[in-house]
Amino acid sequence: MFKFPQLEVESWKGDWGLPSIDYKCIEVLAFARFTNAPININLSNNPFKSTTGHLPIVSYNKRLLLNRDSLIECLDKQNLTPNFGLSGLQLAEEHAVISMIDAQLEPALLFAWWMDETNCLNFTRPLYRNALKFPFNWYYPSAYERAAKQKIYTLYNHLDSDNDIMTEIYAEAIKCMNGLENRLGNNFYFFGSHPTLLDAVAYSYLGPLLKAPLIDNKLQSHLTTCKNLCMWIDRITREYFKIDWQAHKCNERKKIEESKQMNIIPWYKKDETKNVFIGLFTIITMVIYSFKIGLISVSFILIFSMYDTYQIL
Amino acid sequence: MPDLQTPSGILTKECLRTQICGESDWPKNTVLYQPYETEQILLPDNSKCLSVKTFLKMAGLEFIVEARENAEYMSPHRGKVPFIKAGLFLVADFEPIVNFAQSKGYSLSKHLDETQKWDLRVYMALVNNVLLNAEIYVTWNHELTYKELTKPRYSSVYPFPLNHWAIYYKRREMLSHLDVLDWKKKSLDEVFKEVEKICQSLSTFLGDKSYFFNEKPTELDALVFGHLFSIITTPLLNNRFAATVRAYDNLVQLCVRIETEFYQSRIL
Repeated sequence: MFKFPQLEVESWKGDWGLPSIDYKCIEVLAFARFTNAPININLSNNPFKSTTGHLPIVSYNKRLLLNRDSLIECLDKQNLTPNFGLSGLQLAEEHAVISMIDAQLEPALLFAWWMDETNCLNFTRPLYRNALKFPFNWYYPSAYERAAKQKIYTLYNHLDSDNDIMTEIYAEAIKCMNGLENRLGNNFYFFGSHPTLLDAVAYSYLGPLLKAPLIDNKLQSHLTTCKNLCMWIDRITREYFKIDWQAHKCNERKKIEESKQMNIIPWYKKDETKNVFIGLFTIITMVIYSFKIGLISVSFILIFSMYDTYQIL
Repeated sequence: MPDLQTPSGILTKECLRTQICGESDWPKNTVLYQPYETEQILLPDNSKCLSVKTFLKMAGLEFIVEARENAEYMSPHRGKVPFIKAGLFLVADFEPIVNFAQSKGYSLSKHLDETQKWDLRVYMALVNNVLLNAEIYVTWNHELTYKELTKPRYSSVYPFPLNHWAIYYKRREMLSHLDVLDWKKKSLDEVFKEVEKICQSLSTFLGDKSYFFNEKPTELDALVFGHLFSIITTPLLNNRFAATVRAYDNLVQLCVRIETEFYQSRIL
């Protein structure tokens, strides 16, 4: 039977209500959802198969699609363009904004995840270590860290200290977010009522920045003040990644219920009951002990005499 | 020292830098340092130098150009040319120089509204990210161009053992820059496709206006002019790069317009 070719995507599992923990995977999944492309998502934890050592692995008809452009081209051929109905000027703007986001938000995300000591040790590495299978989880987290550091040091090799690099990257990222916030305004999506390529790319960077529970997250605290962007992120998650959203909600609810159950302590675990039990136990032991040493003795004489009297009667 | 732990702290540091710079008027004897134009300079540096010079001319700021063979090692930010010495300050690269001039009260984009300022920022980012990388690719990663043009030009100013070391080091740096941005794996065709795409975007945005934002030239015009003019006029092995740009009539018109207005007087 002829089977219609589908996009095959191997992607990291999702968390925090996002479809994936990796921004590149989110981007691909968002493209597919926005264009309604037929897609087969395999949650994977084995980047070994990929030539670059990174997920996602996207293939169509057994042909690998290595970057964004080839994916768009592939979707275009199926008449599934994410830029449907945009005018020339809007396309130009989209192209420009995407290049700016790529240049400013990607280093920010990488810096927050991998370069910041506390985040890297306590959040990012454990995250990937848990996501990966046994022999790989010893190798890939440090490989990813090396790649991220290499990227940032190469791009900012004109600055000397890490602190300078951080100031530069974060200042640029914050300005970029403010710009996006103003550009979005009260619109549903960047170009009106339908999400486009720009929404997908911006979502892939801003989603993790907002949702990931980093320990030291300066950008997150700024992003939470951008109300429009927060609403926009939630809107996309709710409408296009319903399953992940619901799973996340369920998880959250479970956690809340668990914590509630922790609050209602059953009667046999309460302190007062325990004290009463201890008291009772002590009294019983003392009574038994006093019987043993003969402090208390019950004489049976009275009973026997009563019995005698009864017999006489 | 402002607190670097919060977002506002990070932005305060930026503001502080501007305040320090913004205490006096534009210094009289400002000097712009760049590599030698005829023997040494390469395409990416040439575009950046031309952009900065055009910007300063548009803003009506006085400066003297000085060519130094080791300009990129003199720069406050390693490897970034051109840089200006204005009074006590050394400022390198296009955007910082624009910000510096702005802090002195010279700005070409004061009259723009919010939406236009956003457009200005994103298109400037587009040129800096795509066009500049394409130039770097052609100069350093295209094997023939590297051998025939880049190598002799770049090493022409250094004495014997140093020239090999300097060019090896510089090339490695540039290639790793392209590599982390995923440009190194691209083929020449793909690079020209990118160039075509950006020209298409710029051309659409320009439309038939005389400058990008109607009548007055802005920083974007200076930046675009710097890059496109260098691409068109720099002799490379073949003229494919220039031809890609030349296909867009209104962009060429823009270059011609800016050249006649700001540079013709010098040539005559």
